[in-house]
Amino acid sequence: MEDLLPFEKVKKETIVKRQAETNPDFGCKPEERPVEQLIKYGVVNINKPSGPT
Amino acid sequence: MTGCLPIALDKATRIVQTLLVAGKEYVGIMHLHKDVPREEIEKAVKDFTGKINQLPPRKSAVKRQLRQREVYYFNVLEIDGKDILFKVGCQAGTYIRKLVFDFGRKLNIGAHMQELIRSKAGPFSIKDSFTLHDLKDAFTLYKKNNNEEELRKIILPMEKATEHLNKIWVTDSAVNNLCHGSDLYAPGVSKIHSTIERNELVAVMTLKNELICLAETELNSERIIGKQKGLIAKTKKVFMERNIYH
Repeated sequence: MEDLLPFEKVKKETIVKRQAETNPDFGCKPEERPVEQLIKYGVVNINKPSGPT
Repeated sequence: MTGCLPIALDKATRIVQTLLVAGKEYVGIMHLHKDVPREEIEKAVKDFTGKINQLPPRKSAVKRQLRQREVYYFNVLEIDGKDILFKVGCQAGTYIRKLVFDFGRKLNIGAHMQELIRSKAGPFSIKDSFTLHDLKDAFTLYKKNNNEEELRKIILPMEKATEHLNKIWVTDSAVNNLCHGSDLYAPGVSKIHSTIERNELVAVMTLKNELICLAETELNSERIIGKQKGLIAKTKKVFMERNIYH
C-alpha cells in the first residue's frame, strides 16, 4: 500500500449550509482561466536538482 | 534541498504559506557507521515513528529547544551494507538530518545522512513535478508558437496549493467584501468541509472553486452550520483581485 500523509487519508465531506447558484458572468473556474491569468495566479511543481537553491 | 519544490508565481506568491505547515515526505540514504542486523534497523525505525522529540540543529531557523514532531511513517526501502535507503513522511518542521543522527545514536553506532530528496510537499508530489528546463521549453513554445498546451500542463492554478486545507465556499454576494479584506460572516457561507476546527487556517472559495482568501476560523464545522449571524472566520491573506464579483 502507498504511504499517505494525514491529509491524504481523510475523506473530506462537504456540508451544504445554504444552497446557492453562482452567476456565470463573474469569475471563472480555475481550469478555464486564460493562460495570462493562469501565469499570474499559478504554481509550478518544480523538481529541483541538487545544488544551491 | 533537492526534489519537490513548489513555486508560486506573481499574485499567488504568498500561497506557499499553506505549504509551510503541510506534511512532507522525503526519500534518503543514511550511512551507518557500523554494520547492524536488519532486524535491529527495522525495530529502530518503529521507535522513530509517531511522536518524537527533536532538538533542532544548531544551524536552524527556530529556537533551539526540544520540540515534539510527528513521524507518520518511516520505512526502510533497501539495505546495502551500511547504506539504508529510507522513506519518511513527517510533520512540517521535522529535521531529517537530525532524525538520522538520532537514529544512529539510538543504535549506539552513529549514522549520518548521505542523500536526501523531498518527494512530497503537502499536495505536491515529485511524481507530478517538472524540471526548470521543462518549464522553459513550454514557455518558449507558448511565446514563439502561441501554443499553450505544454505550459498548461506545468503551470497549475494556485488552488492546487490549497488541496490539503479544509474549505469554506461562499455565495457570490460575499466574494467582493472578502476581496476588500473583510472578515467572513455567517450569511455568506454556502458550503463547508465537515472537519473544520476552531482557529484553523482554511481556504475560502467561490462556488466556481476559485480561491478568494485564506482565513482563520472562529468556530468548528458544527457551530458554523448552526450559526445564523456573526463572525465565522478572520481573513488573513487575500488572493483574488477586487471587483471580479460586483
